[in-house]
This record gives sequence, structure tokens and C-alpha cells, in this order.
Amino acid sequence: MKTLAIVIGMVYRQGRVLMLKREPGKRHAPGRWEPVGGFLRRHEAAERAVLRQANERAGLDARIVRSGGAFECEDGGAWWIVKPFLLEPVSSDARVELRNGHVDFKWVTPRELLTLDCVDGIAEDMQALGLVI
Amino acid sequence: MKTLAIVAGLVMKEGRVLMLKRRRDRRHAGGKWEPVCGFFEEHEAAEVAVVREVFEETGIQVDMVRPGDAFELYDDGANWIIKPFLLRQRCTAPIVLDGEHEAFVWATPDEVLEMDCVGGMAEDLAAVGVIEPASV
Repeated sequence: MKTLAIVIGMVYRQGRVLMLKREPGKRHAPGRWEPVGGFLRRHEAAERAVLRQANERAGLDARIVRSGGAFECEDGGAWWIVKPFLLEPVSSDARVELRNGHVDFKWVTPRELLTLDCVDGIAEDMQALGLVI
Repeated sequence: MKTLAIVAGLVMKEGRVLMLKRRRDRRHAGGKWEPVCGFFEEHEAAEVAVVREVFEETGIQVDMVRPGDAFELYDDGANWIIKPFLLRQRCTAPIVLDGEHEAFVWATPDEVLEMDCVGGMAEDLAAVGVIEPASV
């Protein structure tokens, strides 16, 4: 089993969170929905990584509202160490521009989130951040 | 606050853990004892990172025994996400320290708990099952 460390950012705006749909050609979790996030660079703080990912994935300038405790979960044959953050867009129009790895996005309520075909660990993310589903 | 993710490698031999003493002139935790630890490279699995770090810091080859659960800890002005692993030395090659450490010792878990260590040492030992969680 491979253990990989990632950050995820739940971008929260007006009661909805930003979810991105992964490209159908991806090897891991093709076509499934996920928040912004990705790998940490060497020596990179998780706080910096998650803001960089919000920008790289969704073209959003965001700020950190709070972080949740790191947790581990299994998905797609790997073991993930996930550090979740709650983010908010810096600008009020919060225009999303998909930049790489995704084909669609949605702002969804926590209830709608349950109906999406998401990557694993979303419930844990929401719980860790105090966004109860 | 900065949150940094690292791996910790607890190398065991005959009931003792390999502990390294950080050089006294290091900015963080100078002179304190620690297990092998280090940062992940981007996209690098923790299992690979920890074996690489052991080799870089001590020159020895190790085999994986088991992982422990990751945990978070505040220490020395930062928040750390630590993924600990229990490892076993593969052969009896001598320890050759890198420039970051000035001494090493093979210590029993009880001795480790008495040493002047970086934060998270008891949590590391408990996470990989070397001591009872109640001792933390």
C-alpha cells in the first residue's frame, strides 16, 4: 500500500461548497467529484499548498477560514493522509476558471453533495471542518 | 501557523530504537534527540520517503515492519502531521551520520522516554505499537 499526503480545500460561499469533476481519462477516480486539492511540495506548508491548489485548479484566490484535523482514508488502492481546510474566495464574484485536471464544476449545498459521485473521504472532510452533512 | 507533513522512521534492533542527536547549532530543536524524520518529496509515498530518509541520515538499509496512524502535533512554533513507521535494519552495516546529526544511540523505549527529545516521541512509539498508548 502506498501512503500519500495531500491537502484539500472546501471553498465555501453562501452555503455552498465548490466541487470539481475529474477528467474521465484520469487513472485515479475518473469522472468523480472532489474539492480543490493536491500534493504538498517538498517543505511546503499545508496552508500554502491548499491556497496554491485553489488557484491552480480553479483559478480562485482564496483565504483560509479554518483547518480540520488530519485524517487517513483508503481510496483507489492507496492510503491517503488528508489535511482539510475550509476556504473562502477573496473576491465576491468567485469566478471559477478550471485550469487542469477537471472538466466541470458546481457550487453545491452539503445535502446535494450526498447525491454526487465523489472521491472517498468527503464525509470525513466535511466532518473535520465542522460542515455537517 | 504553518502545518508541515513529515515521516518518522523508528528503526528497531534487538528491542532498541535508533535515536539521532540533532546538531547543537541547528535552528530548530538543536541538541535534541529524534528518530529519523524528514519531508515527503512531491508525489512520493510515505513508505518510500521514510526508507530514503533513513538511508540519507544514517547510511543503513531498512525493511518495513509496519506503519502507525498519522497524528498531528504542535511543536516548536509549527503544526506537524507525522506519519510514523516501524522499521528493521536489514544488515549490520555501520551507521554513518549525515551533517544534520552529531551522535546516535540505540535506546530502549523506556530510555527514549527519558531523553531530551523533539515533540511527539511518545506518540511515535505508541502509534507503531512499541509502547502502550497509556504511556503517552
